[in-house]
Amino acid sequence: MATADRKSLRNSRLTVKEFEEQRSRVTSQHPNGANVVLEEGIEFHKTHMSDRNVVKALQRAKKDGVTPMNQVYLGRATQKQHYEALEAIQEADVDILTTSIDSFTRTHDWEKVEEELKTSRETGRSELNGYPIVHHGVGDTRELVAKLGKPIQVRATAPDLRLATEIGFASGHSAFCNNPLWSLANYTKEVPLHEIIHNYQYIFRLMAYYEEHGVPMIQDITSIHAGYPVPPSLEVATIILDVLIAAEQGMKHLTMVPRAQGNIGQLAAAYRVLDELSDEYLAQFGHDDVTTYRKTMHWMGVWPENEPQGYALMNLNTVESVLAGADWEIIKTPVEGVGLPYKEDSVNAVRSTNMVRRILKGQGPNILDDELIATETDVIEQGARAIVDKVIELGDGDVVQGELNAVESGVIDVPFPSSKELQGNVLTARDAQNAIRYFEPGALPIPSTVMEYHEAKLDDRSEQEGIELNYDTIVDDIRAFK
Amino acid sequence: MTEQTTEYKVVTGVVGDDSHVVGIRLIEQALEDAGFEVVSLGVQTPPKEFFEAALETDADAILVSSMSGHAKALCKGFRAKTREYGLDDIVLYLGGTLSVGELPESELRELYTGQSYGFDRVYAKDTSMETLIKDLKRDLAER
Repeated sequence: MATADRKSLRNSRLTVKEFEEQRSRVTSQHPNGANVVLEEGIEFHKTHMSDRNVVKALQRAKKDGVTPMNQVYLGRATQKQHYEALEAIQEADVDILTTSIDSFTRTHDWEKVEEELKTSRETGRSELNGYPIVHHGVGDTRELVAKLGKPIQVRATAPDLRLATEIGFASGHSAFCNNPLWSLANYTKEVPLHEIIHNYQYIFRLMAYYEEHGVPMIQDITSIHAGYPVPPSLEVATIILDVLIAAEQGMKHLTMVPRAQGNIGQLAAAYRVLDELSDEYLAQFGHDDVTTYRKTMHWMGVWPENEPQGYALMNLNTVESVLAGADWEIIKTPVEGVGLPYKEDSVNAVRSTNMVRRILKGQGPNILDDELIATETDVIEQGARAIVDKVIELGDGDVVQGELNAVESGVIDVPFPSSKELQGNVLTARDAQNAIRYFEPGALPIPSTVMEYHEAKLDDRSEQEGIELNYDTIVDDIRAFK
Repeated sequence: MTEQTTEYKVVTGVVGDDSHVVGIRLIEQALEDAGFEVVSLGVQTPPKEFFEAALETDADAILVSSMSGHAKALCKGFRAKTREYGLDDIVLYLGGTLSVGELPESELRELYTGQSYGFDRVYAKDTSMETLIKDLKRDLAER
């Protein structure tokens, strides 16, 4: 199969031949692709496995009761800038290091990468919003990873990150962060979902290859969104569906990533449903040896424009992660609403959230075990199950065909999508406790009893605030919290 | 002011490698509510598509959003290019996160309204929809 085909694409494991054929095309996307040798990558991982592997670190943190582990978004243009920033956050005692990839690399604009790298070297400032991993290549990146001590994840959202991840894994990164539905909703206008799934099946297969050769690899499966809040039932459903696609390629370690959206009980309930449904659906599709973990991302909407409020939101999100029982969180910095962070901002973010984690150690999630969360868990489960089952039905049992048909018919949908393929007919709003509710479910198959619960919660807010919820109040919910 | 529809046509989009979609959607909604006709190009739009769309629709203004920090590389020569397309008196606005790392707003404004970029207005900080629409109406009327 030369390229992705909408009709014939299935949720089935790539054969060795399909993988190798695709691999030769992937590695010729850029001259540095020629230097990626899987066996050398595997060898390099094995030299410092216990210190430098993300899965090992996660298993250790869980055993020692020091979850959630933390991590911060970080990527700089030149090797020197990237190394210095990573070294600084390593010294600030972050758990997991990060290589975020710049967005010119994400869109394969190699020429712009070169221009901006040149400017970055001249000015001494990073003029790229991440580390251009394809340009730097395996050799230089591996050297950088070798000088640092901690496990490291490579991060980016885009429809085609096959070469970037090839280079990332071969140079010592043991985790990646993306999945088809998330990429569709927030990182493309034109690329169709079947092409995106096809590219991600390759990355999942590649990670499974490392796993099969003794290098544990972990992948974040993140809920569908384009930066706007969505109710956990939609988050859970889309995570479960992409979990099934990753597992089919042979992946053994997956994090499930809903977002910290402001209501701790809702996140705690989302995790409970994720645990239950991932076990259930993985077993249903014959994957009984996949381990799932709970990860969270900090608020993805508009951040406050001043640092004190930025600190408040960032630390609140860490409180949410701890109390909801996350295993791992990726944090934002207090200057998120001001601009892209400097090294010092990232260091401050790590120090500040580390203090929150120390204080709250051992306090989550059992202190939240009350009736309200049990109700929330029930409502999320009913909504998520309705979506997942409908998608599987639309694919006649095949999850990939199901996702493709569901996106076309609006059974998978999200507010304000970047992609033309998604309808964008879903609208959401906060209730009086800042939990996220469906305001308009579009064509999502949410059961009527669940919708009644959401509507009642929104009515409570209208009554309490003495306002009618409409487009303007909904738009305001994109701002963190007023 | 007497009530009237603006009759103005505005091209909007997110430039280049960037896919931050929510902000521009909200701006588009506010512009439509204020009576503007909006030609929406969506995310990841190459600069030349802004010029082509403006030419094709005979637009009065182009509003460029950039949240990736890469506007410096993506928007160089923006004003000069509009002239190549014969868009001589078109109003050009730029807004978003306009650098990698924080730079003072005044510095950013100077850079992007300067000769090598040529935008009429630059919004590097949170700005209310009212301000944007007031600015735009005034600039279009004074053209």
